[in-house]
Amino acid sequence: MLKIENLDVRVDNKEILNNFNLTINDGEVHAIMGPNGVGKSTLSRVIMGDSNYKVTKGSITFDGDNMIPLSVDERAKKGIFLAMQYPLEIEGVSNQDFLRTAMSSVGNKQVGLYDFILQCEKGSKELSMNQELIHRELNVGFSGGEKKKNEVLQIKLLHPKFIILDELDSGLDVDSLRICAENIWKYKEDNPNTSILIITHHPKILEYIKPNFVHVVEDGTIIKTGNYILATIIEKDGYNVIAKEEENE
Amino acid sequence: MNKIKVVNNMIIPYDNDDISIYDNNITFLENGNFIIEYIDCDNINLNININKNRCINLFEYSSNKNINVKNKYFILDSSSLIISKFYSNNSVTENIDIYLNGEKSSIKYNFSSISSGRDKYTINIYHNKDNTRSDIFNRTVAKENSSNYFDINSFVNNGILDTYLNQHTKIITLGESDNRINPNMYTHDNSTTAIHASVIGNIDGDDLFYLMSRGINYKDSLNLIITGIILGNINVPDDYRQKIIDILSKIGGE
Repeated sequence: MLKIENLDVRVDNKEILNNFNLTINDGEVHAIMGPNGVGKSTLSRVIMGDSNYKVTKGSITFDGDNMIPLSVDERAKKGIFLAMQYPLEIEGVSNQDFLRTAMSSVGNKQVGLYDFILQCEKGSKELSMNQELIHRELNVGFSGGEKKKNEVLQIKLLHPKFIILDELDSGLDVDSLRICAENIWKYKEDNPNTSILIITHHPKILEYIKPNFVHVVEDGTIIKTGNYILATIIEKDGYNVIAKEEENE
Repeated sequence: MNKIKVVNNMIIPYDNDDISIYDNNITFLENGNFIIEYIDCDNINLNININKNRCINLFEYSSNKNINVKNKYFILDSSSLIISKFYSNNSVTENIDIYLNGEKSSIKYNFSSISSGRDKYTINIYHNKDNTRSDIFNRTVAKENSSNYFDINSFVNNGILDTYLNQHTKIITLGESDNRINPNMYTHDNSTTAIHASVIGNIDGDDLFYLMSRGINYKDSLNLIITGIILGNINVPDDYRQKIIDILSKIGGE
């Protein structure tokens, strides 16, 4: 279970999250929606432990453990995974070396080459991913869809308990989005206690990965919570309608 | 792969039909892959000759010495020399001259180094004939308190047509270090194509964050990135790959 309580976060002396509260129980899927610049991606970075984001108040616990003092890799080893909006291209680092090192680190034991190859072949086949990408430099020259598929492949290989999807749908064509989302949903079905936090502008991804809760964020805090219907209202009427409703209440 | 050893500044005699060795001259007679390893050298002065219509892959390796290098490379018509070179020395002063003396001759020079002392490199490339091409790629990881000066000079005289000059140098700093890159392209002919890029900077924090977010600790993440910078730039024979990885693996822990 991930629990965020009364969280304040600053970047360059600007407050991005303000008294933010969110509890995600094991097995739940939550979606965070909101216009640009309201703190959605900040939330993902803070959960993962990016040192550029300063927590000035509040707490983040995962399975009862305080996350704030933990380094980024320690959080990952606890089972938190952030699928990034813009997966980085790292020149010279082979995808294969990266994936195998990550698997060995998270699993706390050296992964044999044969096992690694088998898992990569299976995962990349399920994602309709060119297996040559495993041998290329990490994300270098990958298309937008290939980068996102590589993120989902990492989910399959690293077996996280809590997955953050930061705008998985950005840069993806409809077919790639469907393949990525279906694979994540399959992972969720195979691992029912896995929780997912989806950060998105668009409800399309929520057609594939069904959320239990949809939250609307504005000015660094959640202003409304609902279910999937809330996402469809946002798609139809926009965020302003939600914000005005909240003001009137 | 044919291996030439240079020990105490002398070329060890080597019996091979593909290579001719005389004094400090090495001539590559046939196409192939070759290694030159410098062992216990402090003053290296070689003339390396590539005959016409040859394609030579050369790997050069030097580790743990204070060295002074003054090598010259002569490349004749329609030949290409592809150099991958790795240095991890206490300090280096290197002045190398590359002569593209034949039409359609080319040099692809990939140099990677770990710097811990005072390293100064001067690389001169002389495009003496038409349709010659030089691609120079330097990658250095500069350890704390090291200094790295690169002066890379490409020369094209008036009337030498359709030359291609390409220089990329990147120095990644680990802590405080003194670094300078001077990419110079002296061309006197309008038909030259010239490209250069020079970068001095730290390891990208976003790269580290990305790797660490997959459970890889700081030391291993740093090591992956450094290994990528160094090995991503050079073709390394299997015999030397592990040697270099062992050298690189010590960096993150320092």
